[in-house]
Amino acid sequence: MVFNLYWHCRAVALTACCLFLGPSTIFAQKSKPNEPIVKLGQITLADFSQNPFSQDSSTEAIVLYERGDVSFDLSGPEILIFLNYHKRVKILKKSAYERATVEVPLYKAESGQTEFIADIEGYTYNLEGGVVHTEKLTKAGIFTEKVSNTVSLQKFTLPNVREGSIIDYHYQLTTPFAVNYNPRTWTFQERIPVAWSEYRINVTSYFYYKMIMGGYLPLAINESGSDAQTYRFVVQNAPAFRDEAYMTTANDYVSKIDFELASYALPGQFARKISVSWEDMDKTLLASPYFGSQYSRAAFLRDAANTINKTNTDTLARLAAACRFISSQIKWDEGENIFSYGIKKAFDARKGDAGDINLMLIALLREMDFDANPVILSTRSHGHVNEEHALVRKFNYVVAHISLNGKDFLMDATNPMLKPGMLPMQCLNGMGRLVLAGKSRFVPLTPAERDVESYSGTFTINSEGDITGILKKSHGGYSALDQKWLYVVDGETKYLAEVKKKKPAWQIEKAEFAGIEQNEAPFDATYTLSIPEACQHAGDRLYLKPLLTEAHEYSPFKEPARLYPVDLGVPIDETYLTTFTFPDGYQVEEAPKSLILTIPENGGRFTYQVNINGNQVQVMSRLLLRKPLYQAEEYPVLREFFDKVVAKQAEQIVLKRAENMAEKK
Amino acid sequence: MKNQYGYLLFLYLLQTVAPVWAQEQYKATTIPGSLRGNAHAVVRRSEITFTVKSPGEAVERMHIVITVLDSQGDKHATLSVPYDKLSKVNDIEGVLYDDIGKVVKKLKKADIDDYSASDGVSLYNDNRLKSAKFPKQLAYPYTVEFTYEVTTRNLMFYPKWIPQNSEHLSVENARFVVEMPKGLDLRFREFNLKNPVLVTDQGEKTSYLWSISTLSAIELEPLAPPVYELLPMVFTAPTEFEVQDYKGSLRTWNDLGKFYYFLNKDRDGIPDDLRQRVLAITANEQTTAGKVAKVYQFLQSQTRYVGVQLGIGGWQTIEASSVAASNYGDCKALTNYTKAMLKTIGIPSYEAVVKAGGNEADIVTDFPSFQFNHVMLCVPDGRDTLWLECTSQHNSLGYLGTFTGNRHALLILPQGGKLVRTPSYRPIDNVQRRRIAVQISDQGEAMADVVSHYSGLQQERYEEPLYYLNQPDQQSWVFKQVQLPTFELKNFALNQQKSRIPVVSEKLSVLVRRWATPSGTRLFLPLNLLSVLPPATPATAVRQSALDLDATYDFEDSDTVTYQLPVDYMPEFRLEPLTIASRFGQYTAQVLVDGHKVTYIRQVTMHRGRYPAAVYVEWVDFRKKIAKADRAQMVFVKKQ
Repeated sequence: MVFNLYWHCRAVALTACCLFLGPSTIFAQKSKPNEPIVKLGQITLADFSQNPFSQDSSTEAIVLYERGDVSFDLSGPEILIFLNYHKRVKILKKSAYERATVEVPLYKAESGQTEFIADIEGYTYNLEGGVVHTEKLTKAGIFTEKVSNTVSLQKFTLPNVREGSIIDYHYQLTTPFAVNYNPRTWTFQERIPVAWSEYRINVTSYFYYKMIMGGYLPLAINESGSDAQTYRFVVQNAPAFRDEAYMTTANDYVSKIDFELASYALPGQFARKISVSWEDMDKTLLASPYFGSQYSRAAFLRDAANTINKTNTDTLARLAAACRFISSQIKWDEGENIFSYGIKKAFDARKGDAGDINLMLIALLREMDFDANPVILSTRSHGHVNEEHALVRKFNYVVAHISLNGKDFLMDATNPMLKPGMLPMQCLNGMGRLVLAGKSRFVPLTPAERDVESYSGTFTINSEGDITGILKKSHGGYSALDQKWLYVVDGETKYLAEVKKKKPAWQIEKAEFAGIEQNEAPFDATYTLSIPEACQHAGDRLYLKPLLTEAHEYSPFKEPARLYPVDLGVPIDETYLTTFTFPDGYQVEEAPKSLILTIPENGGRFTYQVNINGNQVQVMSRLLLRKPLYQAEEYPVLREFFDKVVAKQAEQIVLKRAENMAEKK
Repeated sequence: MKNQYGYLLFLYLLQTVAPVWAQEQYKATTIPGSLRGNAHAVVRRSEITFTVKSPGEAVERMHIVITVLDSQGDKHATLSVPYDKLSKVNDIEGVLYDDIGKVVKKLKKADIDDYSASDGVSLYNDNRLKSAKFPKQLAYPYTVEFTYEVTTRNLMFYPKWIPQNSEHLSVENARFVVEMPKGLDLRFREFNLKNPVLVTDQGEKTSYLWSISTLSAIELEPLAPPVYELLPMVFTAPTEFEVQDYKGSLRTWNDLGKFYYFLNKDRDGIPDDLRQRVLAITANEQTTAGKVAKVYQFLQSQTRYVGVQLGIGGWQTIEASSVAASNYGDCKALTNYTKAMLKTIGIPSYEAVVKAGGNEADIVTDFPSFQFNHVMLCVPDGRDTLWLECTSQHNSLGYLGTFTGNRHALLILPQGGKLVRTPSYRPIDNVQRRRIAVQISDQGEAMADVVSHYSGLQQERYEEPLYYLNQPDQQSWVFKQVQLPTFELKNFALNQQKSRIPVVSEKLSVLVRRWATPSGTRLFLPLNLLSVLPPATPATAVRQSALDLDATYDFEDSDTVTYQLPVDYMPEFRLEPLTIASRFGQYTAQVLVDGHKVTYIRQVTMHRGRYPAAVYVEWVDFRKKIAKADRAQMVFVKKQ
């Protein structure tokens, strides 16, 4: 397989690494790479034959060279960041033509300053009959589009692009400090292979930046000047980045370098500190009028606090009542935030984002005399939090924390269906930061619940092979949350219509739903149904697929290999238990054998059992995936495990009419 | 070409100095029960007035009051007003009311955003959008009221009135007024209206009024006919118009064609070196078809699609000489360029404007108006006609498919426009033919070689993986596509044979650990794993609309699967040949057993058609029977 070639890269950096001034050398390759000499507008015949990715002949294009040089200008009235960008791409297939149209977003600060682009210069080179033809980008190919009041797009498209063309372009992007004081994230990897990606930055002595590396590729060059102001990073021969199933967000996996201004000191001015250590960040947050001050006192919640404490004696009951109070009073507007502009304001408006709601929950718990504190976190689609760097903008969500019997106990009141101790799926993303004066620390965001689906059925089979009976689908944990949400949003009629669409074989006579109101209860759907001709009927025999419509027909892991971890988010627990009563005179002639499969290190388990008892047969299948995340090394095991589950669940029971019965008829 | 639909759908305007409307309109409690059923929002009242001042200028005013019943209706509380260089939004006002009709908030300037309405495909166009909305409301119901006014100077397009333009939206009252100055006639076409137009002569102007009330919310059903057959609508169009100093008249398709011709003529000059090159590449071709094929091949290898939608409302091409210099252009530019190249070698060709898109309904043929969004080239060749899609770099010459096939197009001839039909595709053009050889072991493991041919409409879904995916992504695509429980991919190849009916061949070799399931003495063999047709969506309520099986239902599938079984296994029963016949098509399957060789043969023929709503049950039943037949299995027992 193609990607095996890159597997050596994985071992180098499983977690994101840090380069903070005195750069580390752990990434650097032993041998010095051959450095290309690339000048804008100049091309040689040899450049056309260059292809360091001969193993990936099917790629639509290759980035032959990409370089960014970042510098600062302090001479004017405001600080400017320059990015001089140069890129050279070889177009191999027509599907890559869109890469000859370049779009650069330009942002505008609230105070009015805007980013701008200068010195756009571009060339297209075509090789015809051994001669290179060069075509220059003209004004006719350059456009600016105002997307909205705060964003514009600088676009340009190169002329005469066809299969085999090389395009070569440069521009200078200027970013005023008011728009962003951090240079843009530099990505070494793309969806096409990149032969050489080089990034240089000269931060001057006035700025103190944190540089954060992410991804799975090694650096070919990692140099810094003796003055600790100039840096140079190169990734060589980066393979095309590909998405895999069960990833949090592609951004967590791609190789890149990110910047965060820690502090700066301009000549003749006091040093300005932006962010440095976790302790600093905690202090800043605690002192913030939009964070710490919000939950330190909340007189408007005192009556509610007293009532809850009076009516509930048990700690858990009090916690549940507090969550219920907030979620019934305040509707979540689906916004993510760690701050609140005013929890009282949100309380009066009866709506708010995660910041408003959960800081309010903390305030209420404090009024109830709990030692409640915030845990800030980053949701799955927002990306992993790097514990090496304290960056407020890496967090986008906050939940409430208390210590319960010495254990961390987390609560979220955005969704009234969540039970105390359970966080929404989006929040299950590595570590969160518990913020409290002097005692801040990281807490793991491990799921307190599984995704539980349990089916139990009682069916009767007739001699034609039709089955009738009752199937109860019980959803617990995260599965219950999903199903209840669907049920509430859609309403019962539509929910049932969707079930009918998904299971066209079912003829549902009656459907009953229970557990919607109680957070603690599973969501139970009980169907009285029949499935005509569920068993194949031939001669004296009936062939029964005992999992009916509920088997895993296809493995979710068909791909032969995997580069990144399989991130399921929550453990999975699926049980299927059904009893079939077969028609008079029939007996089991052949039935599947029992099976127990395990994933090493208590990673998972599959059990399958068939029990025959008179004219009844009972089938039990249980699938447990105990870990929310499986490393890429575990993928072959996981794949093999699922292969066997799918195969076992496809097995059939053979029922045969007894000889004497057959003769009588 | 500029997408004029975006335009028209939203250009509903109304008086800023609106009459004070009755208070009932702002109270959610007064909505009758019949308008609540199945609705997420209710149009309480809407009034659109289109006042034509002259052939070149008009003002549209809109006043609308909408009550939102639940969170899924929130999208109706947002106002979007598209505009461009030829139109100006004069005024937007809005008010938010609570459930009892009390004013909560008035729209402020800061609540109105101004966006580029880029279509995502074009490099540049001047379409923009003003969007106004109130903060997300959490208490339902609530009511919003908007008024706005737009002045337009592009009168190629007059409004379409679709008072109920969404599912789950009911309408209490809606009015549409068009005011024409004396001497200028209005053309219109009504669809599904109970009350026809009311025309009043008001001296200096003539007023046309349509009104409608109490439309219950609709829910579109699967395989329903196009919405314009179901919904009340009015299309309007000019008779005489002006746009950027170009004058046109529009009463017939011939008129529309004349205008397009006039707008785009004499823009086909090409440089001499290109002329020489075209002559050289076609020199050895004797026939028109041969020469056209060479020019088309040249076009596909040299140019690419880049949309720059400017010039006379997006309807005038850039010069062919500009395309010759940059080798890119939009549909008009690349079509004009191809026409220019053909002209230099003496082959006449004509643009054909069309409403392109796989999900687009055909144009309304009895109402000549600008209903198009694309242009292609038509080359007459004796009694034959060659159609060239000039924006695609891999399209087969002459194949139009689901994008532009099977519909009307307007041919632009020097003497005017002529409505013609583009090619349509029959079941025998849209074939899937599959031959599979499977070696099964006594453990159920299989080595399978699959050779498939797809033609016509059925091969279109393979173009994306063929032309746009690299090898690893193609393999991932195979893992998602192939309906085997789990497998190892040994070999995979896709090829396209270009012709008027293109054919894609696919070769696939897989190792499947469990194709058949062994159990004790038996081996269970599913006969058809790869060509399963899914069942139809069952009706969950009484079917309302007709069943419309579109052109993609014209197809033929045939499968021959040969299984080589391990020795000593005998079939436990015989499967009788099966035929499922219906008015929609026919399905046959049979199994031949010859020693250890089992051959499964399956054939499906379907055709398009339109059937009454009551027939939907029959359709579901037919597809259910097919789905069941596709799950057929054989059981083999080991000889003791």
